[in-house]
Amino acid sequence: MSAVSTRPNLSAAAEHDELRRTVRQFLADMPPVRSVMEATEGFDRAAWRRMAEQVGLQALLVPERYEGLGQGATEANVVFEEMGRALYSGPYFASAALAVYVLLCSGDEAACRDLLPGIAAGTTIATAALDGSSAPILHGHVADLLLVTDGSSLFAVDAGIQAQPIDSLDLTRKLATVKFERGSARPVGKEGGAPKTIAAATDRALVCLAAEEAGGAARCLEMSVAYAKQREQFGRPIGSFQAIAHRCVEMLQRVEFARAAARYAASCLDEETGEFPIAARVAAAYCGQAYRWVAGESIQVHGGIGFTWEHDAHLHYRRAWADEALLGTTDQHYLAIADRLGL
Amino acid sequence: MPELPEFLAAAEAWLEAGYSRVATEQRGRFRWGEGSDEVHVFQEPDPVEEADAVPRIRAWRAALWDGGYGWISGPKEYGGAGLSRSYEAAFNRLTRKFDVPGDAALTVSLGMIAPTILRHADEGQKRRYLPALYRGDLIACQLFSEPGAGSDLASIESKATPEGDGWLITGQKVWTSGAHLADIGEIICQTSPGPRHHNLTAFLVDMHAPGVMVRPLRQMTGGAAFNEVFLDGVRVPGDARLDAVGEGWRVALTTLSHERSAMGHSSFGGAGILSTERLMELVRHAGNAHDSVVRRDFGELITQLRVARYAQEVMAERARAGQPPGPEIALNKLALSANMAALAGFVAGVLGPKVIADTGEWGTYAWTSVVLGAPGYRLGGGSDEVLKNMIAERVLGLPRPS
Ligand SMILES: Cc1cc2nc3c(=O)[nH]c(=O)nc-3n(C[C@H](O)[C@H](O)[C@H](O)COP(=O)(O)OP(=O)(O)OC[C@H]3O[C@@H](n4cnc5c(N)ncnc54)[C@H](O)[C@@H]3O)c2cc1C
Repeated sequence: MSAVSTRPNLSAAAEHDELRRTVRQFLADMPPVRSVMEATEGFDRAAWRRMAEQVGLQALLVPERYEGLGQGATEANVVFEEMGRALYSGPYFASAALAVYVLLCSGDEAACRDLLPGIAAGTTIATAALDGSSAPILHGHVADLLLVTDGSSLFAVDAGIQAQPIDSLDLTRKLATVKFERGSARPVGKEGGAPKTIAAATDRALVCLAAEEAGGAARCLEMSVAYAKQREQFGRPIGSFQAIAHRCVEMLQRVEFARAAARYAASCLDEETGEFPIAARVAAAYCGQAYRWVAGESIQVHGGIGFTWEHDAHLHYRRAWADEALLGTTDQHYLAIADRLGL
Repeated sequence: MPELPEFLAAAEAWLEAGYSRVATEQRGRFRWGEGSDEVHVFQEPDPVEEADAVPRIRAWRAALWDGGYGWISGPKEYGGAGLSRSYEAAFNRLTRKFDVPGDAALTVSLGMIAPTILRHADEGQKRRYLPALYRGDLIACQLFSEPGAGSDLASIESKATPEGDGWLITGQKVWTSGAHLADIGEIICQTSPGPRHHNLTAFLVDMHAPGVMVRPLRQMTGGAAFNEVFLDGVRVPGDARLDAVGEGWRVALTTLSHERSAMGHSSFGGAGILSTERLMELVRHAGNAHDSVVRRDFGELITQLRVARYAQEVMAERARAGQPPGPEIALNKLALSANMAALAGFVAGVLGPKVIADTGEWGTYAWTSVVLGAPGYRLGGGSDEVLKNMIAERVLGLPRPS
């Protein structure tokens, strides 16, 4: 496809339903997120290995020549929606999407050949810190491989990493402060090439994050609607009150549109349409806001129970607010859209 | 069946032979200050312009029909080309490159009434009405709402009583868009006292028949796109009945579901109203292009507009894959009314004083049509509240909200 075309092909192949079923089942069979989120690592290592060995998910976006499955953003879209629904707490987004895209976008053949097969096999857990500051790093405490930048060039660090998990708003996706020896850093890509690589990788990773957010929002809606049918007050289900019913419809609207936005952006990426740079930020902005809003409304629909520690509503709420600061805020996406359209 | 590229090449040659390419297409972008600066929200041109426009629209439809492009996705037995909807969508995109009359005046005719006829009419009615509607020989309107029956449409009071081998219709309809242009109207009438939902029957009434009186209603925009329609003992033949006696509610639901999807579609209509280039030019000419608050708000507006378009394309793709649009299609209409309001807010913010008084400056005061039209979108096609009730019940499975 050429960059002239702006409309992607959206036909949903039947394999995607199969992929969705497989991933959903796999995530359902894992230890519940609550049982692992309070542990220091915050996720289950054995399940991570099974994910690699039985389903091969870590290899999804890695091209076949680097021992991956060579799937596209459209397949990743399905997987990330499911990850978001389940609030999967392992380093999947950091390693299998963010780090993979940074390496691929760097165009550094040797680095890809050396580093991607381990990521694809799940034996290397990778993460990336792309703003060049000392901000906490996603899953830094479990990373075997760090992709970092000094603002100008990119480096891979795989030895001498000292990381300390810190209290994070999102209980199901931990952040860590990280120290490492400069000496062990290996340059990745061209000198001075970091800004370009990071921009391209960020757009791609944002599309995965958007799908995850859409999936999380879909789960919040599902919980809310189920509760609205079952909980009775004033002698009738609360879902029969217009204020609640209309709230649920507005949630549905955002969920459906968020899913469509992430899906559309993924198709644009796979087909390299000219719309991709816009679609990526549109999906990022829309899905981020949608998730945050839906997660908040979901607490309201649940009443007091929604505000308890035991209910999952706050786990989504925390995830949604944390996502907003992960790879650019909504306002930054809006401004990027204006820039990219040439305003 | 021709391959899509061949089909499009032939279509482009056909368009090229009869129509000129639009200026913006030749230069590749919207040009500030050229041509009309009107922003059409509802079909409400002034009567003189309209008298001129309708024959042009009819001629365009006739040319399309005779060229084989009048109903690309329609069944061959009723004069359609028997091709898939993707051909039709591709053709429609192609026409935007040419200076052809828009089909907006025919949204009700072709987007709502024709699909209802295809679904509910008998063989003879299909052959009689479908080619005529698609060829533009007939224009149809929707005679549903009454003074006492708006959101609660099932409480319609217009009556049809059997007379000879036909019917006699008496009643009053209101808010009828385009009735003043229409040749036929899809009307829902009471044909028995009850029970509710089973006492209604649908007819196709001749708008030129004796006893039909159309009176324009002035909208808050100042134009008159909708009307009151009085029917006083209007005689309609037996073969004007659509579907069985007592089936009027089901017929109405078909029309309403098409209305929601047709309305949702206009949220990315090519009419230029939501054109990104036009919005950017507006911001530049207002001298706001470097204001970061405006840039942020612009990004937000574009996000809402694009997502509505992406969602429609994803839904359309599902429809092509054989899953018919369900009641969730109404989400698009909710997005449309929200986006109209957002657009109004954005342009008013950018224009400031220029939107409250007509200084004669091109492309400024014209945007008042969006400001004034936005409230109509929340009401028309089923009010947003009523659609939310419907979606809650039918999509989410919640108990009927009250
Ligand atoms: C621009 C425009 C074009 C139109 N074109 C046509 C046309 O071509 N043909 C046609 O037949 N009709 C047409 N209509 C009529 C339109 O369908 C009705 O206006 C609409 O259904 C609302 O009915 P109403 O005006 O009687 O308002 P009402 O039903 O009286 O509603 C008033 C308010 O009460 C709210 N409300 C009513 N019931 C409920 C409920 N159960 N729950 C919550 N809120 C409720 C409504 O949302 C609304 O806010 C058009 C309307 C407009 C604005």
